[in-house]
Amino acid sequence: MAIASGSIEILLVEDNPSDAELTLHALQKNKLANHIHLVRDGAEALEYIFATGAYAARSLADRPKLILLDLKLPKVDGLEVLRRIKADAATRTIPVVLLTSSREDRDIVEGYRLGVNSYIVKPVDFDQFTNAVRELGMYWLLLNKPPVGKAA
Amino acid sequence: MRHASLVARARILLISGWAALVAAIVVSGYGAWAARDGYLRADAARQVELANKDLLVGMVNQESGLRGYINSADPVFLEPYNLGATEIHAALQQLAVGITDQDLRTGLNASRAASQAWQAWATRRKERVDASGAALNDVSESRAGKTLFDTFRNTNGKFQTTVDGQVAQAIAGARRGQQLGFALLLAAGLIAAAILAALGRTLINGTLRPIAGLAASARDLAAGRPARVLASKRSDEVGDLSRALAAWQATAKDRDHIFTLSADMFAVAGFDGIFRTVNPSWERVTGWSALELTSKPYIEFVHPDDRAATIAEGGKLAEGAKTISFRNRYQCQDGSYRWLEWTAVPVEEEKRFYAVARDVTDQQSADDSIRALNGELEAFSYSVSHDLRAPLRAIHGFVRIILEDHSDEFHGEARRYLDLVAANAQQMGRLVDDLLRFSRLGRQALNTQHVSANAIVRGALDQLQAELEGRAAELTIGDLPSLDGDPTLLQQVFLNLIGNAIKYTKGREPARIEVGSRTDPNHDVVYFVKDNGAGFDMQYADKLFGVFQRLHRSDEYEGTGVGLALVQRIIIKHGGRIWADAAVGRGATFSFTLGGAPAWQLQAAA
Repeated sequence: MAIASGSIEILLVEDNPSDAELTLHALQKNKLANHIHLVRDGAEALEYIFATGAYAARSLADRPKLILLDLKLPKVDGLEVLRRIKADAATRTIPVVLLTSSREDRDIVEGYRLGVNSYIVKPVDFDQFTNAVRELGMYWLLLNKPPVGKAA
Repeated sequence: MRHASLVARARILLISGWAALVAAIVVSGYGAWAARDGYLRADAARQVELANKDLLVGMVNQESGLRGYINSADPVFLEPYNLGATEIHAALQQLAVGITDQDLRTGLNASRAASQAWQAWATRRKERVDASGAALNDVSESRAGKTLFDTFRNTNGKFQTTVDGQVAQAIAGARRGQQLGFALLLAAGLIAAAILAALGRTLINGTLRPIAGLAASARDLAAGRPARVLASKRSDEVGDLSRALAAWQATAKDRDHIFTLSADMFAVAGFDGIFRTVNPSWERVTGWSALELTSKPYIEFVHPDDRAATIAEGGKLAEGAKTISFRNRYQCQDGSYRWLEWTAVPVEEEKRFYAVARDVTDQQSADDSIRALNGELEAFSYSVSHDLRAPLRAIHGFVRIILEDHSDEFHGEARRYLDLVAANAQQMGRLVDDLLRFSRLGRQALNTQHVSANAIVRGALDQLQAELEGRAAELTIGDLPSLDGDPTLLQQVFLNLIGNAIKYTKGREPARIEVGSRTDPNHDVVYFVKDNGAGFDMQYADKLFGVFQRLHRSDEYEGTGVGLALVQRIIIKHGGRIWADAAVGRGATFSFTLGGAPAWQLQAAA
């Protein structure tokens, strides 16, 4: 699969190392993990996305093609990260998929209200989990056509 | 007790009074008439007496004139003689007219005869003197004349006596009539006075005084002052009134007792927002006196945050709506607030409402702590949902990676054990999911709609396609009446019941599953899911709907033991009930209805 080197395809925001590893495994298995960047909390995610703090040297123009976002995160929670991404015109068009353990209706409702692109409940069953990761990777990275250039 | 009507009594007295008055008038009229008659008769008798005296005078004049003429033959003496004759003629004429009485007539006739006898003699004597022109001196003739005159004098005197008697009699009669009239008038007056007095006594003592007393008692009662109304034993209207008032007071006293002793707070308030009356419970609960509570608008006692809602509720009352279970906070005298729950009914004509408030502060704080507990529980289940599933996913995930990527390193028992680890992690994942769904149901409000049962069953079957794959199953779906309920939850019910039917018919060729409905004797619609599967022993039926209760070993049929508990919880939440019929090896039928189940059944089922 031809993916331009140097550009980050997926930003994975996940504090649980096991979940992070399983997600990476599932992505790798489906050959979707060439350019994955993992951040471990909400604050780091925001720094990366908006190129501030530890990521100040990063170019804002180098936007991830997909953000996989956990809900329950240290420091800044997933819904807040989502809100900030969708509030900023520069980042609004990046597809965000909430990948979480929570089945709570209020999280789902709030996620969609804030403009999330997909909401995936992580299944306990690893086969289902692998399938889910593969399908969302396929869809958002390969099938989905993002808007050309930067959004206004 | 015979009913003696006051009206009847007063009527009798009035009639008697009238009768006495009329009798007095008649009797005194008769007396007056009798007196007048007597006096008239006396008057007439006196006229006769006078005329008789004139007769006597005329006779005496004639006699003395005649005697002078006889003795002297001087015609001078004829003057009194002729005058007397005129007088006699006039007197007799008067007498002849004035007398009707028989006795008097007899007397008069005798008197007249005697006078005419003497006059005949006198005429003869006068004519002798006229003829001779000389005085007469015959003693014997004179004697005869004297005798005739004496006879006249006698009869005249007798007649006079009779007339006098008649006069006296007439006057006595008149007097008697007068006296009788007076006496009877007095008697009638006395009787009338007595009747009037009796009427007055009846009116004042028997009616007006007791009524005034009852009126005073009624005023006291109306003003809420203590009053003593004794039920009178009298059998008249006043008795009726006193008994009615006493009975009313007894009822009022009962009401007052309830009003005074009730632990609930009673109030009567105007649509103007001011309490008219409050019962003593108010002081007990709020510390404010009745006077303080009724002297300013009640809204001033209400917590500032509850005022808008309270005013809105008051507005609804003024428009005729009842208040049921409205809660607000009232400030007590010590500055604290108590939660009150209100029930109120407006009476629009009186522009006021009657309200009962109950101090629900303890209940409210219990509600608050339940709410807080629910919140904690929610936080807990949220955390379970998120945190408990993550390690399970890790266990299952890594075991699967080992089995897939490192399968050559594990063989035989080791591989079987790893399979078991993966299976158990999956099972625990399902348990966690089911438990979460079950606990969430308790907190979730029903989103009740009129929904098509057939559409719900179709939705459930869509989700069960995977389970039905490769199974020889005959599925019959009847024509199901639509129902009122939460579509998501009802779909869960059919999902679990049909899912169970699919699960427990494993191995049946063909598996027969029927979803249908019927109407029970109470006219409630009963929905059922029937299968020809493994069934169960009815003696364990009571365990069927308990959480984690299973009637089958998990190596026979997998499951968490939550499914039917969840189904029952949904049905009960809808106010319905669910039950099962089954026999081992001969299938099971699960039936439920959302129709009004009796409360005891709900409790027994819960």
